[in-house]
Amino acid sequence: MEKSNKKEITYPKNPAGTHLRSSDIRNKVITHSWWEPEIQYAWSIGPAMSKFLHGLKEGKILGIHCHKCKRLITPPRSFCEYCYGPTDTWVELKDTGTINTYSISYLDPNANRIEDPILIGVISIDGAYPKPMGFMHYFGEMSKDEIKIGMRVKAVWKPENEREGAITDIKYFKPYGGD
Amino acid sequence: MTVYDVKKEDIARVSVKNKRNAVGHPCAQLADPNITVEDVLNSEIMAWPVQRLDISPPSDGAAALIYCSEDIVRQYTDDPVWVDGVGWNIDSTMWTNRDLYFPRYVSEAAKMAYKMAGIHNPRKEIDFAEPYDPFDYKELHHMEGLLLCDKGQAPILTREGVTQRDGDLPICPSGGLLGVGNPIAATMGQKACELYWQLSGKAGKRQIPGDPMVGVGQAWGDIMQMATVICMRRG
Repeated sequence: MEKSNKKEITYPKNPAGTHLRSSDIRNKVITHSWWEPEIQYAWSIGPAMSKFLHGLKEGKILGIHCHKCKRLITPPRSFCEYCYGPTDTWVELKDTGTINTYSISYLDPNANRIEDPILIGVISIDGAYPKPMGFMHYFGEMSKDEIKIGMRVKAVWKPENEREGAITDIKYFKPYGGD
Repeated sequence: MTVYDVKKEDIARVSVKNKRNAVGHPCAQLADPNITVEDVLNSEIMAWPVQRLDISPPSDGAAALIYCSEDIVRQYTDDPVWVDGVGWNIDSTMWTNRDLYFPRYVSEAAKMAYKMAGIHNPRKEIDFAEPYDPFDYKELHHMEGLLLCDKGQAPILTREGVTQRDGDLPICPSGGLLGVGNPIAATMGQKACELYWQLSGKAGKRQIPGDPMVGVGQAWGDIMQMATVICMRRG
């Protein structure tokens, strides 16, 4: 019988480790320090998204073509992420569309519980393709019992003098009966 | 739910299965041997259709594996588990421009890993899987992305018990993130550790019967956009 030449490996018997509780921090059982960061930052959104936001200020939803992939893209960008080719030919799209998906949220943007739910979801914007092609926004003038996938919706814009070149220049999307 | 008429009850079954599977896992935070589908369906509504018990908790945690060259592995163990294939894929950040039902990036990562592992028919050759399950419905998405069943079939397999630990295709025998906890960014390690334990027969109470030979693990990240896949085989 050959003598085993296996190397010894040891491992912890308790992989769950030791629990750390918030009371351990409060009662200073463990050494800790506290730091509140104050961070400010700016983000350059690039030429295509800038033009899109300027369009919103004028009450227009803009899209851009990738001719190679046969896409009319919104929100627009200066290159197509599938072929990496440049996009060109700007198009003004309608401010109507179809609900692609939605959620009825009982959490506000800071994750606080709320009684009145926020209706939020993704709208496939009319004229853009291939479907689904669009962006996320709020829904209004409908109840949580009325909202459904496939529902036709139209943008409700802020008054012109209140628009600032942001996605929130559209207040929400409302039900839309017309074609 | 709309495209394939998936029932909330069948989604909730994933959470029940995983929280029950986690019983016996030494790190489990949310193991519950008595949880029922009704408990999930009656839990607090967070963002409909997602309820409290559909969601895994963000956890603190770490996972580690020892990798060893095949030249010297026999100095350390008689029963190594082999990493046969890995794959990864990333889709567009513009998730509002994509099909939100089928995770194409998971299927592309899976094809890459299966090719490396020489797996031609994943449904026949893979004995069990540890897909990423931060939410119960994501386990179903990811099973289909890993090409373990047809589109729309994952909820039906779950309802029929196929994905239970003693079923034909056990899914998340560890208890997954829903039962163990979700140590964000360490989850692929968690999944790979379970593959190791199951394939080396060291999973204890969680052991899948019948000496599984091949397992696949998967993690998911960024803006519903990125997947990594690992295939492991009993030595």
